[in-house]
Amino acid sequence: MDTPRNRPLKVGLLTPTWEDRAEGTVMRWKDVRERVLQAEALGFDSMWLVDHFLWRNPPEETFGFWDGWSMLSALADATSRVELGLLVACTSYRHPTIIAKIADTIDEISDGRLTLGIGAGWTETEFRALGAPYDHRASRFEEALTIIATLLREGEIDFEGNYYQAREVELRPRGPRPQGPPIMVGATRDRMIQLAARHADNLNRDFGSISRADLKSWQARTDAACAAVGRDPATLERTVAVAIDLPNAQLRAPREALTGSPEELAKSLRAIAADGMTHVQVWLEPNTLAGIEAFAPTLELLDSNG
Amino acid sequence: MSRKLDMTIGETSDVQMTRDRPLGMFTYGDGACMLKWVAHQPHAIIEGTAMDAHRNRPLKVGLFLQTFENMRTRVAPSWPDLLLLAQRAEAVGFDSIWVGDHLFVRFPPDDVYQIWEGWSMLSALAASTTRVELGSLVACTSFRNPALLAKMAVTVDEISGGRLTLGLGAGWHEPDFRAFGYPYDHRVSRFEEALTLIATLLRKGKINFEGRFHQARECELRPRGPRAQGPPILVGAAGERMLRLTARHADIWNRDLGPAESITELPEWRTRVDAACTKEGRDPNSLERYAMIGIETPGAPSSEDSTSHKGSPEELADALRTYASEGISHVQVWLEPATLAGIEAFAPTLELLDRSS
Repeated sequence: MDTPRNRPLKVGLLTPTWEDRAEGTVMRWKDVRERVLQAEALGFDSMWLVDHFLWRNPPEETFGFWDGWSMLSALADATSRVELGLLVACTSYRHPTIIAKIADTIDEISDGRLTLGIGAGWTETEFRALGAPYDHRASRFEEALTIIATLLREGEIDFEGNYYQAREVELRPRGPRPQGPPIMVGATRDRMIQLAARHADNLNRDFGSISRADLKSWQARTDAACAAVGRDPATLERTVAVAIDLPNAQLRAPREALTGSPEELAKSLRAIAADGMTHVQVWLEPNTLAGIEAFAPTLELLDSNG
Repeated sequence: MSRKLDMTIGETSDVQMTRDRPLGMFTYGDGACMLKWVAHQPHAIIEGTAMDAHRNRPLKVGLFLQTFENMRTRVAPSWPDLLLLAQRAEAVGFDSIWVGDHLFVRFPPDDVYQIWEGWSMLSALAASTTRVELGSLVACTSFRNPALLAKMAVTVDEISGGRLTLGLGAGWHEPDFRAFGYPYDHRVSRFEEALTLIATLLRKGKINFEGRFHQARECELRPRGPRAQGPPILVGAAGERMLRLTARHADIWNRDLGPAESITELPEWRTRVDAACTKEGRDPNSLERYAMIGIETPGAPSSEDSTSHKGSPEELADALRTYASEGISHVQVWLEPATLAGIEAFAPTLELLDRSS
């Protein structure tokens, strides 16, 4: 199915790849695959998975995740139309050179449908479980982003940083796009936004506030960061992840989310597009096959150019 | 890849190493649990068909999938090419498909060979095949965080419905290490910690580990894949310390045997691996033995420098039976040529093997 012409922004789906301890259920691969294929059939533009290892935050139940990159690569083969990405990959869990290599490989498997979403990470217990350093995350990220962006766009790098080395590395073979997949940086703080302004194709704001004022402030800070590095702000694409509570949502904790009828949701998404967002990733509740199907009318309304 | 390249690599007797095959440290395979798990798969079309047809095969035969550029044409395979090869190999009756794990391959004087990222390939192959076992041949434990590697293995095992073998090794290709700034020293000691961490996570599901080289604090591996103990662990090992670690932790020992004449070394390897098991207090029969071998397919234009097995399907089947009789339960074949034509030309050898009595 082609992306409908009139849709004011692309709509992606965050698919869970984690255990639900309260429900006592685990998303099996066949469940992930089934949901993603159904969402592709119903007209979602993109599929997103998280890059987490273990969530531990007592007294909450600890729960774990499947490896995001492995699942994404399998989905690259299983799907045929939708764009794919991690929301977002942590650059501290793998060497940046490997991340660039994985990105080009999955872009090849998907025939150019990957967006490389990356961020500095924030879950300290997970870093501990992996033995990954939690200090100087923005500085580490800066080096990682430099390596990844240079390798994908120029195909080679010779880099000696404080945290990473990449000596005379060449990225070969290349995937279907000479410049590699687009790089999306997840950032809300100014320092990370500045790094995105320097290197990224796309800036993403994660789940959190849905206030229009907050979004406008983030946009203004991004425009300023672009101007500071001499970049036309219009060349940095903006995307945002939003939570959506469907009528039968069963939430264990309150969250900021869009709600309402399909008409109201379509209106909210149009407002997000009008604020300059080109792509929104939705976290549906319930995040199930039924939820995906319940959201489909909103996609149809968006396409009908109301 | 040509066997002729002279590799200048640091030599350590502890680490499995091949001088005649640039990408030569690979390992992988799974065994008896497969049928059981296949039954849980949505696409378990193989039950009672292809698998049963292999009942008499004296050992499993896998294909080493060349996810890197062809040495002669210098062209890297596309994903559609690789998918076609893998699915054809599955259709003609190979038991397994193996993928190397390098990121960056440079050999003197200055040649860089192109290779795709192996775990992404394995994961996509897990989604696009239905019967064959899959394996890393072998993954270097220095390139990725060990706990993350365990997580990746469980995830690919899940996607494949329990068809993964996790092949591990200490690494040997120094340019890989240098390029990434990974330490090349103490490789066996580092491997020991990584293997302990990975094996414990896969089999017990949790670990709290503070090593000299690796840390994993209050680490849990969740969710679990289709097999309660995780995928089988294969270790590529040649030196004494690596053999002892294999005997202590692994399900499978793997050796890249390189030239065809290495077949004569099998009794000695059996003795050494048995001895390592005995020293570790393990029943030697409980450690499976796999080997990687080269085969030039019947009718292939022979290259003078090739040291692979060659001959008629009957002769190749005889050679494979010799491996089986020496205790090798699974071979990974480096096929020449590694093309659809090569796979077709090798298929009669598989059929002959199935008729073994």
